[in-house]
Amino acid sequence: MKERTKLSIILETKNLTKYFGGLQALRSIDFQVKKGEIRALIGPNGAGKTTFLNVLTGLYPPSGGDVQLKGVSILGLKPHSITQRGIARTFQAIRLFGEMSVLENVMIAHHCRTKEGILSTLLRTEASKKEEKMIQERALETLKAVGLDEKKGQVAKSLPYGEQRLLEMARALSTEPDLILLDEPSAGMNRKEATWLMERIENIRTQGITIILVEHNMRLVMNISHRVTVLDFGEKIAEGTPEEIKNNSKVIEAYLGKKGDHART
Amino acid sequence: MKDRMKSYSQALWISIGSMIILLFPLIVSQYYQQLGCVAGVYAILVLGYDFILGRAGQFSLGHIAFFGIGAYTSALLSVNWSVPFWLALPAAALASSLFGLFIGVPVLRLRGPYLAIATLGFAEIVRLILSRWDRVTRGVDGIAGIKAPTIGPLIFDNTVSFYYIILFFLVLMIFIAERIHRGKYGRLLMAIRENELAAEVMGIDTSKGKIMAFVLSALYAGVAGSLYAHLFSYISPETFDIEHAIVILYMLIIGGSGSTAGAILGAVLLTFLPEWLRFLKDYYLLLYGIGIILMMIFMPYGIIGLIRQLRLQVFSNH
Repeated sequence: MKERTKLSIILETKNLTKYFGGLQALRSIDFQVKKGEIRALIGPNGAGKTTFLNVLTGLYPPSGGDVQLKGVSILGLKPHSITQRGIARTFQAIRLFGEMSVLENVMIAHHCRTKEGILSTLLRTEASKKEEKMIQERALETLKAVGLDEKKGQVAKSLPYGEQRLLEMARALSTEPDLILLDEPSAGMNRKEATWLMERIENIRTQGITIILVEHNMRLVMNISHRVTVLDFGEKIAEGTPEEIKNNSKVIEAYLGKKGDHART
Repeated sequence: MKDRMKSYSQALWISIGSMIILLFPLIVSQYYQQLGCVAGVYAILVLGYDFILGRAGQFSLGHIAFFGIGAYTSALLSVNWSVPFWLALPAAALASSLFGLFIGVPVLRLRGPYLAIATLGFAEIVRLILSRWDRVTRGVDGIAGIKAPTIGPLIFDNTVSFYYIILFFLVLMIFIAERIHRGKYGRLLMAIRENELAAEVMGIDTSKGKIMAFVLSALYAGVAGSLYAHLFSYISPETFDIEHAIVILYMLIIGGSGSTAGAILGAVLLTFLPEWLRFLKDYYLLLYGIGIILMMIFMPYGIIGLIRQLRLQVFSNH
């Protein structure tokens, strides 16, 4: 029985700590996400949510503790190897390949699942032609799924903001992840777009992909996440179902401040 | 129908262009024959520069050093050991590529102006070694007597025949560059230029990609260097100084970086332009400078950017 629960945990951090100089951005965080879960990560600005994602994806080395993906430590791996092992992410500030086409943006993300070397692309061997065709077909499928296939030839930076966010998500999914980290996906979206996004996230989960969602939009968080983890000042202050979190006094305090505490409001 | 018209006119332009390029040395003076050869060598050099600067977006100023390493490798092999051109050229390409690997690894972490300064330092070191290590490089006197290429009984010792050797290599190098740029590795380099962090997080080994760009660009410079050495049969360190590092930067930026046609246009234009401006005598450099400033203001994407813009306007008017 214990074995089984262990297997169903896709991501685990133990005692994860990160200092920036004297600032403790993450304080020994123990965190577990089950396979197939939608987990929201919330907290006031500066709580350490994005830092947490950056440590998980290898952009920052942690100061202490461990990160395990499917039971194997990924500490010290470069971001690209972590992606190859199955974690994808989007960014809070959009980071597309602006001058490249919408299709190319997605094709790039397929690269980490391909193996043809430069010599075989230079000689245009059968294998490399097949691979290139496969990359293109898959990228087109992905674009179709998010409804961007008609804009495949446009340069990414020419898309409207909402579609840029969408493209970023499509691109992250194209790395064929087991776990996807979405950093404020609804930022800058109106209510209608956010609702549509919610459906998309549900849809990603049904493909068997686990989701960690950093989000400020509480309607979205409360509607789709199975569990919510709350960070404040780099510390995990609460964890539970959306219902539990809504009524947690520590959480309310973190967001609204204590009575008479003007410094945080 | 329109597409067909377009492809006909394209085919027409291409055949007129190739005719001019093929017949060029037969209809011009010897002086222009030589300029044509130099333009071809610089086109290969700048095509290589485009890998690192235009495609991968790494602001290296060290490209001229790889040109020098290629030229000196080829020259020394030819003069000291009578190695034929057809072996000296690949050896030069290999030597330059190895230096590309050498310099690519330590400067990986450097970006923008820091990378520019570090690679400029590398170029300066190479130039100093070329001009001071008298015993090997013969110092500022340079190396003379570099042998002309031969194929069986044919000796390519005049400018016209050498023009076709350069043309052969230029076409070959264009072919290789285009294959890479249109495939997944070209896409990979562009992704590094557009957003290195995102590329890394999307599963691309950006360190490996940047080293690859350095090695490829150095390989091109090595080929160009070897051709240069055998073209003039004489080389000296001043061809590989900082001033020339800036000239090839101009060539790429003015032609249009990130574009094969741009790199070639820039190299050809800036080879011929100084000669056309020669009548201005002392004012030449002044006008040259002003011209470059104006071009950067009015065509920030280079000649190729201007052409694309014009074509877009022409087609949208129809």
